[in-house]
Amino acid sequence: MSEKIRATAPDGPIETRWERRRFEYKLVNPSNRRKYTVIVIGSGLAGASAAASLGELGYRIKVFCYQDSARRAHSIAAQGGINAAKNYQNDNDSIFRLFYDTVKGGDFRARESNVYRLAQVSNNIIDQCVAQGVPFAREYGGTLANRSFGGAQVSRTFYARGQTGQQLLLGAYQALSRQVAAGTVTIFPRTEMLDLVVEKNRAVGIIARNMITGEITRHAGDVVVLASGGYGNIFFLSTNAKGCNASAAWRSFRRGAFFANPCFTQIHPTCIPVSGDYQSKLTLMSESLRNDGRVWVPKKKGDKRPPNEIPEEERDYYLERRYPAFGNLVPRDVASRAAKVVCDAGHGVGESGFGVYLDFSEAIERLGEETIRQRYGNLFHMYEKITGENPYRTPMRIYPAVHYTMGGLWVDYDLMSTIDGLFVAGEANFSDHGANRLGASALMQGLADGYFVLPYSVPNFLATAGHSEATPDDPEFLSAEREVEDRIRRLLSINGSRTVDSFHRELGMVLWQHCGMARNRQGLEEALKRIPEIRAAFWKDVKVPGSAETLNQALEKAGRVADFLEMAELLCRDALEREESCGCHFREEYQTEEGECRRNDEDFAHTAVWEFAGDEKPPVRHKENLKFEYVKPSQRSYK
Amino acid sequence: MRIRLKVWRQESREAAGRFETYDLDSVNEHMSFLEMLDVLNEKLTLEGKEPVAFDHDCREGICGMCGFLINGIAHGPEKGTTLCQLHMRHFQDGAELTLEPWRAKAFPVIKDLIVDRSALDRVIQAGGYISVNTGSAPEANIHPVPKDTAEKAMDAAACIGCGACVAACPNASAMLFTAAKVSHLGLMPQGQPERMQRVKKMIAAMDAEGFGSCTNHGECQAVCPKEISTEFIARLNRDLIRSALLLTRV
Amino acid sequence: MCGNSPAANPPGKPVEEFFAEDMAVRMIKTLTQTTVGQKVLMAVTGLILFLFILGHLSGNLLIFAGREHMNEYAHFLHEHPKFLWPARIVLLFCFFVHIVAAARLWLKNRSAREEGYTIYLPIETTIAARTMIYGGAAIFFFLLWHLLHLTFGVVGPRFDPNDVYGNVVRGFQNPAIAGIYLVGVACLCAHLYHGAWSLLHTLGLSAPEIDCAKKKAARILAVLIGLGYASIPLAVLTGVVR
Repeated sequence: MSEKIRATAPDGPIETRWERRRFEYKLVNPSNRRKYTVIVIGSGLAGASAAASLGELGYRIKVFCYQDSARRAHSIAAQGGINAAKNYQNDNDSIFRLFYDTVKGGDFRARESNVYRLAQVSNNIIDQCVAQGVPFAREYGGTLANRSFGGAQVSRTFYARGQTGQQLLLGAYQALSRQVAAGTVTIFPRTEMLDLVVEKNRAVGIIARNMITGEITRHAGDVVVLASGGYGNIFFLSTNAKGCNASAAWRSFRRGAFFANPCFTQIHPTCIPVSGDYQSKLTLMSESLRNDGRVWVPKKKGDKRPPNEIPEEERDYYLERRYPAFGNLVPRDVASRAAKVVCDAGHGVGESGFGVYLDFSEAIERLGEETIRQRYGNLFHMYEKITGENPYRTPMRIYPAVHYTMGGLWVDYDLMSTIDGLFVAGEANFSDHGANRLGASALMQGLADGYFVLPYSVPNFLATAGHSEATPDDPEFLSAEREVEDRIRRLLSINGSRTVDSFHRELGMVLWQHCGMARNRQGLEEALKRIPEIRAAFWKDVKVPGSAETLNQALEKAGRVADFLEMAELLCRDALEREESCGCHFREEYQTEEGECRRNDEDFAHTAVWEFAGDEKPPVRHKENLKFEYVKPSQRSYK
Repeated sequence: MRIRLKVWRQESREAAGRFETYDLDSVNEHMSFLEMLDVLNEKLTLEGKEPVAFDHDCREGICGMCGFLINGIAHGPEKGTTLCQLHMRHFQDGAELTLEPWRAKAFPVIKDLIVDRSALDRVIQAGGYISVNTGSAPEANIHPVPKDTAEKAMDAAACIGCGACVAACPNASAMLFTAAKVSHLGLMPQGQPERMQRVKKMIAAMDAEGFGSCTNHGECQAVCPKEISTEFIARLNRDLIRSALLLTRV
Repeated sequence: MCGNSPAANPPGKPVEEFFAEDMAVRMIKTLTQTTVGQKVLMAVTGLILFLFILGHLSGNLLIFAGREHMNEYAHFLHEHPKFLWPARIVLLFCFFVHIVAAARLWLKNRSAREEGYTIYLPIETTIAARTMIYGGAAIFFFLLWHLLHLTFGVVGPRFDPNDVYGNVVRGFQNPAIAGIYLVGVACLCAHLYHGAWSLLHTLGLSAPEIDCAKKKAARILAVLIGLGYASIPLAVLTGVVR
């Protein structure tokens, strides 16, 4: 195990770990706070909430985001809700139960201390958001409403129609706006971080590009917080926003931050299938649809009849058949894989053959169209808008799509990476979800990190490490700036014959095929051969039009794809080395007789932590061993 | 299907703009409008021309990043739809479509179809929030909120800040945007302490940014992808009148 | 470039702190310095002018009751300057405020979009709404003409201060003059239609449940007022009133 990997989680009773750690944290005198600069990358739930909270404490904050406004970060697209252990429904929920469900849902690959803290602060998040005016759904009595989500047996999910992420993000954005008015926060919209500057293993600043003028700027700070989101777009087609990228995280990796569990990527089972090769992104349909919809495919291979003409006995309700107890409500990873299995066997529907039916006809018959309209009206409307088909009449077609990445930069209990002063929050870090994230937990984690962890752990670091003496004129800044400029110049000078997107699409196909819902040694080795080829072709033949001194969307994309092309290898390497199946990581060689995940706790009850070793050498794999003191690992079963 | 596009091209904020015409021969009717532009851009890139710059991000109608006018209508002809959710099947084969950026003094064009909407951020910064520091929140269920009130607040809070209301308004007014936030926070019990100050500060900021005033045309509501009602503008007016008439110092 | 230079979000222009004033100052500042306040001024003055137009119409319709009634009514007004002059001052003040606010807002609105659209397709708005400022200007000039014609007797045929009825009938027997009045009334009608429901909106009276009825009522009212005013020159032209 590397020296640098110290989880630093306190031991002792898990209920008091966070409290004890908070007491150990050093404080910064209020009058000294304004002398510290905190750089925050990303303005999503984690970034905005951290920046606003640290600004309230009196630190000077610089927030960078690539969008034109901090309000547009992709947290905004989360539909379902946010979990909290309030137990408002009196259904015997508790902090411990939320903790237990999250560790188990993550297939025992998350750090217990972190998850417990997450469950503890979940309640404060709801209080905070309500106080900010987030219009959560209410009961007639005026109290907060909850729903059950993602197969949980308790109703602990708080929601604001199908736009929970939007409302929570706007709450954080408004808190951030208040700090901008108060003068503690400066926002740099349309500005992209292109490199991290490290001096003596301490993060001291960033190199950024103004996406309007093309100007490269150097920003020094005492702490850098990365809240730059996940890397799902590495697959080209995903439910992420088009601009989502891994460049900030990847550049930090190259500068010495370790990367944990990159192969843990979540594939969401209910998305609208790909309809053509022009497709630019995939749209998620809320998981709640599976509460009333029945999933099926034709029993006959390649059956091209319209769904309504396929008689009942010729339909295979494969989820109900394989998982009689949970039926259509099995967890995300199980549902996704099952869809892949039937489609790979030739039963898939739609033009491409990669789709399964989600049929509401039985529910409509039983409950009436009006009830279904009330429950899912907006989702049906969205589906019709996109596909032009009416799901009240004909079954929806769905297929799994990349949705979330559990892997991310490795952080300790304080959310600090292996580079001192580089903190990582939200989806960008790896910490809380193990090998599979439960529904409505992403929003919870982003806000927990930003509102209730970083505002304590960042000051502790500042009080301990003191000011960074670095200035933007240090040689480290100048050389990093030069590297960034050189790279941009190189991208523009290739002037080849293929567009950036064509490479990205090609990379995505390779990853989806070999490192997607199911992986095997042969495929991963094939991918590890193909990816360097694509990368080499990219650097030889890509065509990036325009100049560096203006708004140039192709150039922005090119830089991101170049990073994805490097990162993809790490993804496959990690998947190859993890010789077990767990959560979203399904290795075909390691499955039970019924085709379910077979974990190997003896050899793989650890977090894989990768260290960059230079462009010529393969990255080094370290381990952080996981201890399970409170939740005993068991086989997940949904039969 | 075949589509002819007349697209506004403008190098930079200072440069003069012009329309350029492009023909696309094999547009698939299942494409989204932005995917059709992706195809155009791939084509332009390979021809050695500079692609059309347009803002977009989530492509599922919630981030508010995309937006321009198609044949004179903000976000195109479909009601309650952002550009990214508009599909080509709503257009005729052989259609000629003119794409023009949002136009308003407060939204200067940055490049092609991209405009600078930071004025909307500054309107929020003027008071579109509830002043509650992290950690100081009371128990969430301490303020019951009637279901209808929460629903109405949510109707207003659904605003995605895309700026179509400004673009479509004959006066380039940002009243619907401002009113949506004033109403959302003004409806919630948590928003009451600052309600009277909020409305004045936000209106002052809106005026200072160079937006026009509301003359009740209703164009904003007609193009709003979230179909936010002008009823909220009346609510803002009401709050402003009330704040002016308060006897106590506020 | 070095990082600690110009901030990317210059704090917007300073927000005036006029909410801390005492009530009178606060009210005046709100009404004169914010766009919404000026709209409220226009709405309130518009409402007063609207009521005047109704009152004026009911007086004018006395023409159908005959010369004596009409002249008696005019005579009555002139005999009571205690009522007439305050009313005139209030009306003048309202006109003044309404026009100044309209002009200021119009200038601001024009400057809010310096470069117009090449193609702009309105969906919801009406001709009435889009021509408020022009219709308003037309009404203003019509009003001047109207005062010169029937109050001061400077333009038009022979003017007899003691025979309002005769002045009206003589005036409208000239088709050109009647035409001017009909055009003026048409402008007024459109202006009132948008103005009537719009002022309610500006004063905060709106809900999805009543908005449709509000517009319908405004339309009916505007048309009735228009017909009422137009009936007089038409009646004279067709010889119904002589």
